[in-house]
Amino acid sequence: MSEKESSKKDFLSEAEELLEELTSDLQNLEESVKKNNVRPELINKVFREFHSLKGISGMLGFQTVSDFTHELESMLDYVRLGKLPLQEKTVDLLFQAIDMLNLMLAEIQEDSSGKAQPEIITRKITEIMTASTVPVHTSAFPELDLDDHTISSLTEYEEHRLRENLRNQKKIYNVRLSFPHSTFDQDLREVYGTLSKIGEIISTLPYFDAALATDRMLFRLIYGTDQSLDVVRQILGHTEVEIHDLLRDRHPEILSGTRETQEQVVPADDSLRSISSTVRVDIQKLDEVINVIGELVISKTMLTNLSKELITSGGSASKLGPAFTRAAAELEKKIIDLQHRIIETRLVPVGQIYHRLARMVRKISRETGKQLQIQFYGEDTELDKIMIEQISDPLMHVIRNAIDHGIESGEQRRKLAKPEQGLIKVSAFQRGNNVVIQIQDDGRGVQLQKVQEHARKRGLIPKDRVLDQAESLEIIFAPGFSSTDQVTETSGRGVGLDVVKRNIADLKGTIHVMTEANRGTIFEITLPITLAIIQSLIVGIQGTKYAVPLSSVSETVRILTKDIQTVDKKEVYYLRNKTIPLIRVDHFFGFSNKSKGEKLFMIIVPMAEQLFGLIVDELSGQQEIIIKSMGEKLKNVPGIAGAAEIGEKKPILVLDAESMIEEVTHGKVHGL
Amino acid sequence: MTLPASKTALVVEDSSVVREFIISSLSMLPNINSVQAANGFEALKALPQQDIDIILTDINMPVINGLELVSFLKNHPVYRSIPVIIISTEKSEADRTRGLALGADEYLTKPFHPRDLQLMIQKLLKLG
Repeated sequence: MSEKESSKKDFLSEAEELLEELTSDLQNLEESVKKNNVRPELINKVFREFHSLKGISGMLGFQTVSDFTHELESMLDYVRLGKLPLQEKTVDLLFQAIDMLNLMLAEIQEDSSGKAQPEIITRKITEIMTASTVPVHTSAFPELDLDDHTISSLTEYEEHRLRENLRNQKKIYNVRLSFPHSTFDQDLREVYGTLSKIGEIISTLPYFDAALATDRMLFRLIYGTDQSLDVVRQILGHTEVEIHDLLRDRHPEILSGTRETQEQVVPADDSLRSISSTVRVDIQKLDEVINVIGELVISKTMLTNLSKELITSGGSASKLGPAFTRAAAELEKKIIDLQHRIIETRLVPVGQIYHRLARMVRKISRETGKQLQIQFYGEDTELDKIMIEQISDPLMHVIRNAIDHGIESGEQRRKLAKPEQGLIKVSAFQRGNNVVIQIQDDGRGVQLQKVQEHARKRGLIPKDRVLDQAESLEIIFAPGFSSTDQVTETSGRGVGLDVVKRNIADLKGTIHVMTEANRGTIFEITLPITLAIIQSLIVGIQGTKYAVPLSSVSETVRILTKDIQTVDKKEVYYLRNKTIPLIRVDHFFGFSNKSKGEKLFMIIVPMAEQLFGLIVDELSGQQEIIIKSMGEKLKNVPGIAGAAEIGEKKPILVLDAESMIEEVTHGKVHGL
Repeated sequence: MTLPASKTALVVEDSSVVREFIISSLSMLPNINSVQAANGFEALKALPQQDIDIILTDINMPVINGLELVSFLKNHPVYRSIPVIIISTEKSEADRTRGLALGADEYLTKPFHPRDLQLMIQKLLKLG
């Protein structure tokens, strides 16, 4: 590797670490801005991170990154020095800046250019900075018992923090600490942890005093807090410590005098400036709106039923029936419209998490030495905000898995005449009411033989049992399949595909694998667009109604009882030359008597490249429902996804077809 | 002819990339070894462990910043004679003034050319 390449690699590695740190700090900052309790230490940390990023990009000659981070650093410098108020829009802008920086790093990595346009953000920074003010003050602290030397060791920022603490009527203490030279860093960190909880450490000054001891390290902290001297002394406990109050007498005139000059610096019309066309809404509030819509749907159903009764009643009012029906239909249309609009407000593009995935792949590529390329498709595909948040971890894990177990080493790939660079393709698209996310690699494919051996070794299947392809692909998701001892640093964290599958199932989604030896593997994740409102099929089983989410169903078939066949003591149905294993829902839930009807309905549920049939007695139409959880105790009942209401306060259980199939097939694997 | 004794520089900088850059600039000078510290803490720990001939420090570092380190050094009976170069960005004009007031010997602005650093060190250590 050339020196230039290697310094580029170092730069990218450190820059990405900084960006990850920044992302998490900004999330905390965003939270605290909302709650209005921003810790100055956090702002300073974010400032320092941009400062470092600017430092390294400047040193290594990445001029555009350096120029851009210079702007960000300047803005944050103003914020931390109190020259600029920190608003939500500022934090928003910082998030945009992080996305931009990720894009810029990607361009550096790929030696491409042209996509990243930081100017857009730079302009906004300039706009925000016009609101800045220069505080009027001298650098003297007449109210504090501090020597000039100490004051001159304060950085501009520390001086500002000291001033702020005074302005907020904090007590200012001088804390002298003495630690053995061998452990001072540990000791000081501990004191830091303790003191930060009840105040702010403004400055840490190491100092030397030959009169005391030469084998000890001495520190002097300047500390601002609300607590009394005694409380601070007590909380520090056994540490060798000496504390005194730095405030001379508190002269109220002086303090209020300082306040006045400070207040001038806050722009008076500040609150009027931050008008923007977007509103942030807590997703909980949207959930509440959706619940109300759900109840509207129920009321509408009641109206529709009433209108039917009106028509058939034959009374004098029956001629109003058709008009009544039309009004109800009109209402229904409006409710559906309302529903769609609310759901739309919850949808965000999948592309939001693509950056994160790309960053992870770059990192893994560096760690493993495997050359990788990641391609993204369908970034505009929209998914519910909650889903996006919860799908990112499973996606990352599937990608890690693909890199670890799928993509071969560069050497192997050369031998196989494959391009040395491994390819990971992530595509998202809509299919009916679902969003499908595919993760495709061009690696060696799932090695079925190895999977079987491993499953046997882990005691998941009996020694003599041979799995077919579908079963092998199913068992990689079994709990206990991925062992901690074979987890590499990349796959890491001891999370197996079973956890991925469970997380996806929690989102009412499914995951399937398709594989071809030496050509690669596709993991396909199917998710409902939103969890809020789902289309369901209402079915009847021995007189009771249940709902089955339509997203699980591919078709329904009317069948005759006499056409059900028995193979291996299991009921199956032959449909278009395919053998479909059947699950009788009534048996599943332990109903004692069998359905006696000659005609039954089969609900076809596709899962893991196979079709299963759920047998029910009747079908009574489709309806939109809102699934409610069953509460903690009944949460994990197999076969039940939750409950819903369908008109006139009628509760109905919602079946979880996938978990029923899993329960039954799982039993099969073990019961041989 | 006697060879000049080798000198040791302590590089205090929290960014590993910048630290490496400084160290590789130093390595072009004859007879200079480097010891590195990622923050003020590590610098305080490293100081008593070997003879340090020159210190290069950043300002913006967590917990113990460069100014606090300089203040400590310049008030220490033993360490006060060690030349200190502050290496920081052009942003902190106020901090530069303070650093020099505290007794720092030189101030170098990031980004810098390795030659500037080398000249500065040769001057401070009176190397030929």
